[in-house]
Amino acid sequence: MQIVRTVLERVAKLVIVVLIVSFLTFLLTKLLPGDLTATLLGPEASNPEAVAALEAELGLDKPMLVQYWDYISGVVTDFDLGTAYATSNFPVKDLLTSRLPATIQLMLMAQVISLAISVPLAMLSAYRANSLTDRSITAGAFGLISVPSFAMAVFLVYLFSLQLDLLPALGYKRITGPDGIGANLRSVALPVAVLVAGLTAVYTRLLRSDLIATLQEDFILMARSKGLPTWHILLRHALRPSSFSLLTVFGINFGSLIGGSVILEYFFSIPGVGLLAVESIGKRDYLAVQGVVLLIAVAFVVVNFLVDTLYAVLDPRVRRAGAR
Amino acid sequence: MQVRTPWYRFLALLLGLVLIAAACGGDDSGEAGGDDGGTDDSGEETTTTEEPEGTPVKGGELVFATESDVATLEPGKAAQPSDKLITLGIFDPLTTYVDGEIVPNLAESLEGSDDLTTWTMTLREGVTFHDETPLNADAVVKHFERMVDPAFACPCAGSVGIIGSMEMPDGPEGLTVVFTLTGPSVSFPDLLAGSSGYVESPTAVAALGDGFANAPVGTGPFKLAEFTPGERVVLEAYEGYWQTDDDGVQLPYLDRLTVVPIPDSGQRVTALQTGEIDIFQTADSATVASAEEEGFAAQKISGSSSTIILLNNAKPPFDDVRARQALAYAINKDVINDRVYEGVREASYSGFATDSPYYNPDAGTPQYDPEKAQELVDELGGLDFTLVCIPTPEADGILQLVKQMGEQVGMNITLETQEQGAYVNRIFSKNGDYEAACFRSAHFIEPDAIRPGLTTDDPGNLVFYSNSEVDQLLEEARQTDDVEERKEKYFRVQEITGEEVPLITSLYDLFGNVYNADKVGPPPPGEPNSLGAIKPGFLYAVGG
Repeated sequence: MQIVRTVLERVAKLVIVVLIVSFLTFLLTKLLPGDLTATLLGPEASNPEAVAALEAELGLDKPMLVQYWDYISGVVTDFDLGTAYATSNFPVKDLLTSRLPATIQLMLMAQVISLAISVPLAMLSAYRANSLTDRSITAGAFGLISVPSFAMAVFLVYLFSLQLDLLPALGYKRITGPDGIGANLRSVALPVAVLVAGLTAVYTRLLRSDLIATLQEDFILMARSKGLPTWHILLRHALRPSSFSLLTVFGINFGSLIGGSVILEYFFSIPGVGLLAVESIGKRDYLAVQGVVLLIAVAFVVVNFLVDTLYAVLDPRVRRAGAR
Repeated sequence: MQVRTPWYRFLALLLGLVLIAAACGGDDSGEAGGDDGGTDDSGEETTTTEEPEGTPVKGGELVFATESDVATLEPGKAAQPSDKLITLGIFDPLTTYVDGEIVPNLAESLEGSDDLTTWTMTLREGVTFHDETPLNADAVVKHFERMVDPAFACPCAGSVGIIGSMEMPDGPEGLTVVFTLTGPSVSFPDLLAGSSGYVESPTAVAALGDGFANAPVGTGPFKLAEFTPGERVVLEAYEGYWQTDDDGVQLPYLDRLTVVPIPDSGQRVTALQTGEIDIFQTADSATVASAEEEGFAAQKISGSSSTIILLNNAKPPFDDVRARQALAYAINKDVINDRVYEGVREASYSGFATDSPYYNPDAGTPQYDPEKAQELVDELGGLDFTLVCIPTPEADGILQLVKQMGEQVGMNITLETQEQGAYVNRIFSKNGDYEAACFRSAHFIEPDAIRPGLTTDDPGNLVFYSNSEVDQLLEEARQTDDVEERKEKYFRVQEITGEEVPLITSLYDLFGNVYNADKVGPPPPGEPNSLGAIKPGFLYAVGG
């Protein structure tokens, strides 16, 4: 029962956070310089009657709180995020759902691949701390962190698209498209590679330093003195207590990657959430902007909740603290 | 993440207002790079385009990249180049320009009364919308009613508002519409050549409501087959299309045209190299130059607008004509072209495009002559002024060069920059709070568009220029549709302004369609008022 109560408390907090974020976003979009009526009306924006008529049509003539209430109640009851007036009147919900697959695919592939690479690398590095291997891995990771993602993107496009003609330079092919999963994987290969390079470097360095600290602990010495094999010690004894920083950063990245990697989506012309945000801000399409921010806020909050829960799985002390 | 107000909004503000006759150019806000467009439909810009060559072939498909995603595909609203390209495929304007001359298009004829207030339109027979609704008087009347409906919020409402009433003498099923305007207008046919003249299917509008914007149905050469915002728009040939080319070949040439947004300018060139696209449109001079270096063909469309320098004619030092002439003589437009625009643009000495019938090549507008500039400055005993602009790389480049050039002939120029919104308000407020200012001005095929910018005390006269002869000439020129008579008057206006230099035009903006000539035939000429967009119905693939 205690667990249920804890969970419920956390969920309540999450809802409050999301509401606050959605309200602030709502206010922010009102503060953006330029406005939607001017974008939509063009030269007619100098005609006050036309502006008034459009504001009434869009509900912008109502008091701010009423506008917010209309918006948020629509979201809650019908999952209605409004209409993207500056994007051919598409419902914001449809825009988001059409943009999410690309963003989620990039995020999942990048996260899983970089984790799969960085965990063994970090263990190798930490186990042989200060060896040539360790120094090579550390230096490599440092190098990758220093390269901005757009520079890496330009380099990879030059190499794999222009010189070797192996991979498409841009665009996104849906899995459901006519060319199936092969074309889909080829279309995301370069942006995923750029993301993986950055993430792997960060994850490797984080896990390596935590592992080195853990490997100094008495219980590791104990395990060694019992004659357990190295791989067994690293995997079963050292990894779990060393993975808190990694898990935290990993979780935060889920949240931020759902907003899309704006630079990469722009560069590779990938129709993801990040590119939608850029386009919508440029067009003052404020309901689309609100939709994107709301999505990111919800994703952050949910991921953080999951990470908190995972702490408890990883560390018995957290579980016991929760039970007190 | 870079966010800026698109300059086209200010270009749009300017249309209808502005400028020029003799020389004059400026820059309001910097290159959009990705996002341009946005002019109203009260006039058509003129454009200069290379002539297409080669024999078009029917069949095949092409991928066309744009700088930005679709904002709207609605008649009356489509303004930026990507929207224009697609809507020119889905819709047909009622009139259109062929070689700079306006001709009926979806209309079969359009006749004005002697006083230019009543216009009788007869529609083409047997034209159908993509949903098989027939084109008739009812569709046209409903179209214009929709354009001025406040709920539709069309930027075109003001210009279309000139239509006072419409009658259908042969009934709604007939093909005749009589327009009675609120006043005489020589430019009514011109209004119908832009997106205000795209007629949409009344059946589809009734069925879809606001959703028509993302499922538009017109009479154009292409049907909308797929529209995924941010990803792609697929157009498929409409088999029932009414138009054939001069050789009797059924249009459109292409079976299918896919339009994809590629926001990054470098990636557009890369995609052309890897064959992922066949052609792209751009407003970025550097991209045109780099694509040409890579061996691609570029259709350059110039003259639809130019950068200008506004001079405050009402206030020292530019209330003295010698000061205005001195600055005009001091500016070397070729240097600005090379340093700021990779040398791909064209110097502008007129408020008209060079291929406009109203362009006077012998107007005597000052050309670069540092000695004359020096003489005038000496005569004035020096020339000190502040030149103000918005802080963009483009504007910064121009400002620095103008400062250098002015100082070489003894001027003392102070540069000032101001954030765009405040800047535009400052210039438009008409309290004359500037000496010299950069701006961007649109050019129109319909020459009356220059009137507000030069008429004494007109709200569109941003430079406070006043010359009673010019006022009279411009007023007379709009009372007639006799081209020769109008030409005479506009030529004279350009001579006067060439002498008096109310403002300085700098360089024509350049829009490019860059393509792989192995796969794409030479594109059709740029549409007026469309910032480089072309009619996709005339685009063809090499070898079909």
